Amino acid sequence: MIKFTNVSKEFVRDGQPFLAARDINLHIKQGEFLTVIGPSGCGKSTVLNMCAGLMKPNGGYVEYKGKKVKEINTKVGYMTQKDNLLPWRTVQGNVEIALEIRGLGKEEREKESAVYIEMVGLKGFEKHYPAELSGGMRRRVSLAKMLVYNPETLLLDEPFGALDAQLRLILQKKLLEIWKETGKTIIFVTHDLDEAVALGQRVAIFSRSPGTIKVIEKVNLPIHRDVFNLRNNEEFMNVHARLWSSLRDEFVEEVGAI
Amino acid sequence: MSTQSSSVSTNNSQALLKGEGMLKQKQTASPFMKNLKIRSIRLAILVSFIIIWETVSGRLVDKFWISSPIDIVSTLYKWATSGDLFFHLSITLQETFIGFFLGAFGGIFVGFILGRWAFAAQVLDPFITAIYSLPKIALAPLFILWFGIGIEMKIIFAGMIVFFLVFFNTYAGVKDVDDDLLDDIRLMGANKRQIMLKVILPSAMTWVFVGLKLSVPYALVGAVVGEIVASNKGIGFLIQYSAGNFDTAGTFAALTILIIVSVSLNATLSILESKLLRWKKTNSV
Repeated sequence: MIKFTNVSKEFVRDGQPFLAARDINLHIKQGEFLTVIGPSGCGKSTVLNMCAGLMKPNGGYVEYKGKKVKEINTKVGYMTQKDNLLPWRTVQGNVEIALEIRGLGKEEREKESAVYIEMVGLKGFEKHYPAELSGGMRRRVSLAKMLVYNPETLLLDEPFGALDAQLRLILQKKLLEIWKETGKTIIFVTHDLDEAVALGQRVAIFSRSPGTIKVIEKVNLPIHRDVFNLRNNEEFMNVHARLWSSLRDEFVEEVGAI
Repeated sequence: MSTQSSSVSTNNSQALLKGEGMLKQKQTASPFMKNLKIRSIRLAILVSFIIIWETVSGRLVDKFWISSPIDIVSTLYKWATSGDLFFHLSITLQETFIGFFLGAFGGIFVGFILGRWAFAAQVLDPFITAIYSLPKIALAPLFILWFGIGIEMKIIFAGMIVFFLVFFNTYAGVKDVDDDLLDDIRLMGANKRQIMLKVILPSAMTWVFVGLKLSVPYALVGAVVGEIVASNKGIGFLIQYSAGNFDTAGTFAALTILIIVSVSLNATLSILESKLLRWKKTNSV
């Protein structure tokens, strides 16, 4: 479905070329839930940007359903680290924008948006403007805004980072449910190893910059997993321990470098 | 930009005031009472100013220089009953509004085009800057030469001043659109027209509105300056004519009308702005 072949990406920072990602080879199957974890600034977001067609690789290529991604990829829904809410639209207006683009009528839009606004726990805030919401609430609006138009692939960049632990678990459960029901392909970037193992069928660990994939680990947990009671599961603990041992090196180097 | 930074600093100072207020909240009265207090003090200042003015004029200072509030009011009354007031006021308002709308439409239109057409904007940049930095009032004599001394000249003059203010703000607003928002809506599959209508236009509206708000008083300036330079009607003419006849009361009366007009214009704009740009307030939960 999504295939990275020898992908590298270079930026210019302070006039100096800077290699953000190198030699990325990755194949994501249709309907797969892949989580990506790694130290900050290792090019995780760059991978998502290239998938969405917002950035072009300097070397190698990215394919989506067998076709090279050359321009904006409208098949994917992308929740970036930034909220990207339209400040002049209410919560409801923001959630409905993709439906407006698709030409849905007012009643249908209201029906659809209400479902997802309730799902992310923002019922009663429909008429609020983004400036009137907290950071965590804005994240949830972004999530609803992306889910509401049902894109076949979801790219999520630390979607639950700003949320408190309980809400995070609830939304993780919701996301798994949506994934099971719809069979979407999901790439989920996180900095939380628990979350990466709890959600992913596979977990990809990125090395420090220039980022590349260090390890990909399969998580043999059932699709119908219970995110609330995973921490004592044997498979969860084994995968977690294995991943942590390779992830730790990246962080040790990072902290050591400071 | 300067308006934004100044509004930030007033917000800060308001926050400071609130912070101080909280310390002695028990002694101080409610916001309503505080508001009332501020208003009463303002009224007191105005009233005492008028009383002192009335007392001083003719006694300490010759009426020729400062006239007196009673004379001014009676001149206003005379103008109002004779119909002069309405006639001159309507002329000035016509010039202001027609000039404002022409300039505003032109400014928004050209601002949008150049904002989206980077190449043309780059080519024309030095010319635009040159015309913009010219004090527009210096063009008044040229405009008389071209358009005569009738109402048209004032409309075009006011319109030109408005045009530049609105144009620059629209241009900045269109260029200021957040690229991430554009990417976001493109990913959703929006076409060019939808991107324009749903992101670029509303995003630029804040800036356009700042431009429009700034330019209303300037439209009035344009009209009145035009009238002072060459005219036989309008508030600017009244000021010029009264002063020319050493009619101090008339001059002050015309100035009073001008103050009332510009204050009402600004008040209307503030109300409009707070209604249209409600989303701008930031009181996080």
